[in-house]
Amino acid sequence: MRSQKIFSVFMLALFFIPAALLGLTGGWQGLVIPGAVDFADGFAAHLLEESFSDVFAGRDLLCAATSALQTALGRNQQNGYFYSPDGILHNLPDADERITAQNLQALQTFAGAQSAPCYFLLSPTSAAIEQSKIPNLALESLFNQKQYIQRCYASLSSRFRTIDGYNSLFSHQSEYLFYHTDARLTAQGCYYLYVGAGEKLGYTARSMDYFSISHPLHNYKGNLSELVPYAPVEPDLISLFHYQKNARGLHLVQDPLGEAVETQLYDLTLLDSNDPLQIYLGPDSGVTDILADDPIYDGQLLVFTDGSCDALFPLIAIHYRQLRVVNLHAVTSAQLSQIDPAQFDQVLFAFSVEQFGYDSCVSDMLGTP
Amino acid sequence: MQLASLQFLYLFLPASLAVYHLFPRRMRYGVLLGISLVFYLLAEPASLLLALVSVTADFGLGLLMERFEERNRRRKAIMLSMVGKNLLLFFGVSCYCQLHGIQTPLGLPVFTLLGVGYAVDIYNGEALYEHSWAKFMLAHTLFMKLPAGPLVRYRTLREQFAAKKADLAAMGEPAALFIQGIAKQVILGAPMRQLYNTLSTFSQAEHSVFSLWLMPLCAAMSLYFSLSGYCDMARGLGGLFGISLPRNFYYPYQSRSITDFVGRFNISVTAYLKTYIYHPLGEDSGSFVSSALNIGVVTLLWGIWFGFRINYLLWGIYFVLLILLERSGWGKILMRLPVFFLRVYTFSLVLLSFVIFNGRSVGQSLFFFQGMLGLGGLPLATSPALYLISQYAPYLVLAVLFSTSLPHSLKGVLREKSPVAAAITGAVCYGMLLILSTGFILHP
Repeated sequence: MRSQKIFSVFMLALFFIPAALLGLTGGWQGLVIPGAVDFADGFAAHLLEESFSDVFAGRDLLCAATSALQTALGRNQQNGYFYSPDGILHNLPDADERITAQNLQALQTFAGAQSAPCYFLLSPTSAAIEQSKIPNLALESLFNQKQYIQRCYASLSSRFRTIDGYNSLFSHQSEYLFYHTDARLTAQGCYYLYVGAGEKLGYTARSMDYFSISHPLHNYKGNLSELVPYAPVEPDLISLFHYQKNARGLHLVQDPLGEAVETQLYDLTLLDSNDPLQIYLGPDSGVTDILADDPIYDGQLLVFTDGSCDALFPLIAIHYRQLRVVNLHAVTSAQLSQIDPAQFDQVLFAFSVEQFGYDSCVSDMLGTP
Repeated sequence: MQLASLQFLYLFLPASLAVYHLFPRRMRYGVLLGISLVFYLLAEPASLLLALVSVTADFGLGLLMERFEERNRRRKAIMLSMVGKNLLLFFGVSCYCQLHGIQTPLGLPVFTLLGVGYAVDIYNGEALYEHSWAKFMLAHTLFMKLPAGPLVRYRTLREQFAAKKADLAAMGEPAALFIQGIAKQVILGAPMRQLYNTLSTFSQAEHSVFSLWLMPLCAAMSLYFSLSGYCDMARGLGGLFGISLPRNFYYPYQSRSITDFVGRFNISVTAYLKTYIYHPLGEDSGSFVSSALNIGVVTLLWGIWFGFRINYLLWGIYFVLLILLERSGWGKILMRLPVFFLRVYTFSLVLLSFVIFNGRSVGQSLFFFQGMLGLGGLPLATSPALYLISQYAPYLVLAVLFSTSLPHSLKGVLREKSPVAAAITGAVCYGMLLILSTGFILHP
């Protein structure tokens, strides 16, 4: 009887502990108490559950332990993302054919109105390149990005010269090409795209020896770590490639057609911002110019991109007098209307499969016929 | 608010227990009614209004019925109107919700079918007329049985509202049962449902013989752990508030025949149908044809308990045919076979039944049956299905293990040999289980 009583007290106490802990830690203050309107709308329980979950004592510890247990039991995919200590990889579904066709059509139309030669770089995501990080049994059902890129390239007219980013990256697949916790390309991944793009764009890519590489941030956790919370993934390293030759420098001009704020390349203070990867092109103003301090080349390159390979452009910029980067996710229609492609010698479209195949941003901004 | 939610586990439950046990015994049913109404209000305010109106109408009609003599026709008319109103509400609202893809109001099956039972019982003199609106309302809206039952006769509940002394020593087991129910739902039921949902998104070209066998297995485990989890939670909570509720599942997947399976699966629904339909129809006391019809009607209703779809109806017919087969002599032959064989035989038939149960149409179920038998040129296994099973294999193994009585038997052996060791081990295990369940709720 006594043991039964002790058992009962212990079992009942279990239900009181979290509330007591919450009281001791002052977590009650974060609890949202639903109002009469919430009750009437039927959202009271949802609100309470959400806020209680947020302030739950030991939440992070419990979630991390549960995640570790689930991983130990064999789980390595969550919310459509594969994960391992080596990184989080988005298991892309098949691309949206309608959006793809619209985006390609928008590129054709835009290019048709320009006299400058146009280039198209469609870069694959980590799931296509770093296949060694994906469980073997899952490989068969992966979206075939290589075929998709080839199909997109083949459907473009001869106005476009296409850049083979897939093979540039695939031939270095064992290297640090993609962040573990972010879908974007690392500076090293961008370096290989820079090398691969050289022949088509008409510059001689510099070997790695020409650059000094610094690593100002060692514990970067990108947006994927929020999508796959508590996944046991190593944080990332942010690297910067500094061109050494003749101490030639570059600087940035944010919003050159508007406020024109001039900043140095690789402003280290941006590492403390919400998005440390802004360090490559500065705070996203939609349009950014990268200008040579002491230009020895005359070329001007206009780039339309989606923000997936920002580290690429400071590398390409060493071969140009001016490189104007237009991020189609951030640019406004007003800014876009001020840009005159005729002023540029070349136009590069650089997108990631993850954006181009699923997001109508390209056709929305560049115009659907 | 769901029973397996953080707010229920660590806010609502401790607060309710504290309030309930602080009040004098004679007031506790009133407090429990208050707790149940607050639960209803937090979970689905609109459904609370529906329940209040419907149950109050039944209460009033019951009092009205009491005014008439036993053989008065008006009495019968009132009983029929109560039954008709509740059945119309149950079937009408359920059909409407199913057609419009919305969730059935919380507790609808519980309070309407309880109302039907109450009307029949007082008409037949098998239950006393209720004069207390609060007790009547409490029996219909008892919060722990609102989400998924179990279905209990009115008089069984009513007898338990008498003031009782709370026994601390008797509260450990219900608390453990409640934790077991949460764990069943969130640790095993949810992953089985996820696996099943992913498999059901496969196109016909992506399916293989393996994936088609895996699907009914996941469906069977998901349904069992979800429903029996709810029932364990309800029974555990009932125990904490001094109310004893019957079990709804008794290891159905280790049944020795289909008749045995029907008696172990959704027990309270089976019992309800037997009480109010099978017995009045004359059970199996008549000719073979009338017995077969009686069994058929009850089993069909048992099947469509899950919804009004052609596949659920066929699911019921499938069991009717198998039960009739067992009654016609096949059952006697079966009983001579080894127990292990009987269990495999029954489980295989139950597994096949889930192909019907889960098919979106008859055509889809037929495709699944064909595929399971290796017809239709499907490959034996495909990488996507093998990948999925690699993700969920430990959960599936645990689900199969915990759907049997083996863990319970082991617990019994330990308790017999050393009660103290059993209590300590139990406390540690249930404590860990609650922590783990909390983790799974926080990070599903």
